[in-house]
Amino acid sequence: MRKPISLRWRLLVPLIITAIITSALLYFTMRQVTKQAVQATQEALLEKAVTSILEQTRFTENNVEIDLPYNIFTMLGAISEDKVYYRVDLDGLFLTGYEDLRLKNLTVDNEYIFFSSTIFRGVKLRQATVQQLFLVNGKSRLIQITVAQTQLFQEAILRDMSRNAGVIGISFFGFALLVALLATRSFLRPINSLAGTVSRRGAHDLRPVKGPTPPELMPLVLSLNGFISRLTGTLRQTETFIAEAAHHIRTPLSLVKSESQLALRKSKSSENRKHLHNIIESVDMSIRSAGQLLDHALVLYRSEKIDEKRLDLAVVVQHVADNLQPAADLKDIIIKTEIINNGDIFVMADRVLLEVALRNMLDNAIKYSNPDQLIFVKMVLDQNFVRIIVLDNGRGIKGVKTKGIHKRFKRGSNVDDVIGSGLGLAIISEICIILGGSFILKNNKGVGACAILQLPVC
Amino acid sequence: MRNITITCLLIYVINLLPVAAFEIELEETFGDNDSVSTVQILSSTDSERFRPVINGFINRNPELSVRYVTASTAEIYTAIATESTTFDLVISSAMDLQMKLANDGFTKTVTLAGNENVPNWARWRSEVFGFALEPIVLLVSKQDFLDLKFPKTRRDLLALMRNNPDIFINRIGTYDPKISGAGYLFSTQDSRQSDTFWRLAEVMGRLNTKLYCCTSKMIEAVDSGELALAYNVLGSYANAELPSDSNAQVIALEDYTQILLRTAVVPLASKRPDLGTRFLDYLISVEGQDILDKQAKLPALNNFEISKLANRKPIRLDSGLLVFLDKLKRSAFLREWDAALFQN
Ligand SMILES: Nc1ncnc2c1ncn2[C@@H]1O[C@H](COP(=O)(O)OP(=O)(O)O)[C@@H](O)[C@H]1O
Ligand SMILES: [Mg+2]
Repeated sequence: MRKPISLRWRLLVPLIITAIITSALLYFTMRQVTKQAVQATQEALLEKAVTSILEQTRFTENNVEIDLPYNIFTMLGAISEDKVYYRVDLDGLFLTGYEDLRLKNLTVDNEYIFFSSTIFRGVKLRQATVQQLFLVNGKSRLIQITVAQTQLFQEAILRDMSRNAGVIGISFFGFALLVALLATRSFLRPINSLAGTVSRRGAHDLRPVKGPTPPELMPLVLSLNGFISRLTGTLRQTETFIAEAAHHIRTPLSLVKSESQLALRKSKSSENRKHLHNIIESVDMSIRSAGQLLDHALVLYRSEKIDEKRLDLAVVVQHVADNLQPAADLKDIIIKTEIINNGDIFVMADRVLLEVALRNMLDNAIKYSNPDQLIFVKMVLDQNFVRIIVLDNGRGIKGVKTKGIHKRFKRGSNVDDVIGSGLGLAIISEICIILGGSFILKNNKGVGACAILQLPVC
Repeated sequence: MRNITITCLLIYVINLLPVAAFEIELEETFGDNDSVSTVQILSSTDSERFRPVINGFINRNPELSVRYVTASTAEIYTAIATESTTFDLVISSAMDLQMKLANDGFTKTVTLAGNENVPNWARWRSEVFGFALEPIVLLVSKQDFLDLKFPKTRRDLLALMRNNPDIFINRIGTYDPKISGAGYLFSTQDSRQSDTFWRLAEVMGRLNTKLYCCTSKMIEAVDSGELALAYNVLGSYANAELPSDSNAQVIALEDYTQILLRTAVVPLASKRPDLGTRFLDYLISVEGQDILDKQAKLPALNNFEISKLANRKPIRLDSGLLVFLDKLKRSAFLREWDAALFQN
């Protein structure tokens, strides 16, 4: 299969060819016009010369008087310094001038001036010839006059002219090329900018493409938007399915949990109680995972239509911390929030997404802390950014390969003993992209881990 | 080996020497005998006048010698146009004949190193180059003008001649246009300038004007008092040849003073056009012009006195000059001249 020709070349090639043809036409037209103008000037002078010689011709009895006009000869040479030759014949016999200059043979009744080109002494000449019959003493006598001039001036002018025309032609070509390039650029700009807006979008931004588009691109935009909406539909179905699946799992699990708790309360045997404890713990984990699956679906769903608001970060953080305190209480863990700057930190974000991110950060901290430990939530303002830091005193992530840890279902090697879904960091990362922030998880200096979410302030 | 070289050299030299079928006035060689090459110059200017420039050229080019042949302007034209001469440079005061040589294709296009030294009005194409000026003046004998005012214009001159026939009869001199090319050029150009010329010719005819071949004879005659006035004399000759206490007075007429260009061409037939060009380049160089002006007394192209002459009329170096060389035109002019001068 042939390589498809780029749009740029499809446009440029005809434009360049047009420019070349136009430049060449310009060059040849200028040359031709100049040539004609110079030729016409020279012919006018030659004509003047032969006619004034003719006018000054007098017959006296048997004699003829020829008067060469001094001023016209001066003029003939003046513009050009071209060489001048002439010849006068009487009754077909050479009378004066240059005998080797050949007279153009005209029929006798020719009265107009005849122009011709000849080669004389190896040089090209332009020649004007005129003839007239005189009636002298009843005898008719024929006077033939020719004046010729070299065309060195014409050649010199044409040389100059060609150079100028060449310069003009080339400049015109250069200009046309520039215009062609600019035109191609401006032609391709809407396409590029469309491509730019589409490619700059977040991974889950499936809003239809809007904004001013040239009418010629509308079909492309329309079909793109159609495609997007179909894709969105498919995605939404998938997410609805996940959400429903999570819900369907959570409900029976809650039932299992409450039934198990009931059995635990009634059970006397320590063996059974231990088993029931394990069941409850696992069910808890499963509920949490199902919750995370829900969260994940929620994030994907919200990314399509973000509801950005100016949020008081301290309020949001406190709210999430309060929500998670009961879960922390189960392990006798205390969440301490430190609010700086009088809480005067605002971010532009979707509240639900921000809460989900914070919840998952705190959830990890609680999950990977030991009982009776403290968790700190701090906020640090750094120029245009705010860093929300969650510090725990748990196992930390020393020596753990963190590369790709934020991918779905990826878990660290430090938590093999704990059940988990591997969705937490994936959710946080996706929210980060949507909110225009960044997230890192690193080992704390002392013990425990340090999760940092950085967001732009407003 | 050496003999062969000399023989070859001899043959070469013999070949180089132009066959002098035309009439030579004087032939002179300047510079060392053992010079490498010789510049062959054919000129209408006396070698005596030209000597300083030739010497200056040889000082600059010690390896060259100069063979300087003088002839009349008409002979010069014949030598180049109809004879197989091989001169490297042709110098002539007959602008019209030089112009015709160039127009008819007997001259070479020359590229001069000092090209910009020759203004546009002093050149035709790159073939004819003017290198010196020559005002055409009136020469009067002071002793005859003791009671008369010097004429300022041709009209004055006319009145003067008409009113004092006793002084001027048989004592006016001018060029014979039939035998002098320069004389023919001056009178034809005069005839273009004004009708006064023909009246002047008539009056001169009535006063039985003597016709001369050359300027120097006229200068002599005025200086000696033989002539009361000479019309159309080469000004530089008068200035150069007359002693300061001379009887002859140079007058540049104020209605107009024709200025002639001394020109040089490099003939197409030259065997060493480079040498001719070299000499020409020297003539137009600052040094050459200075020597011409100060020592040879041939006014340089930018001569100050000439540049401030009232009503100077340089004879234009253009194709118009060809017109009076036409044989019909010439015979018509000379017929008219004869009619004016010899009324009998
Ligand atoms: N506070 C923390 N302390 C130690 N390790 C952590 C902490 N938070 C996250 N991790 C590491 O990051 C991995 C990915 O976390 P996450 O995506 O929440 O999955 P999960 O918690 O279900 O294992 C965890 O498996 C763990 O190795
Ligand atoms: Mg987790």
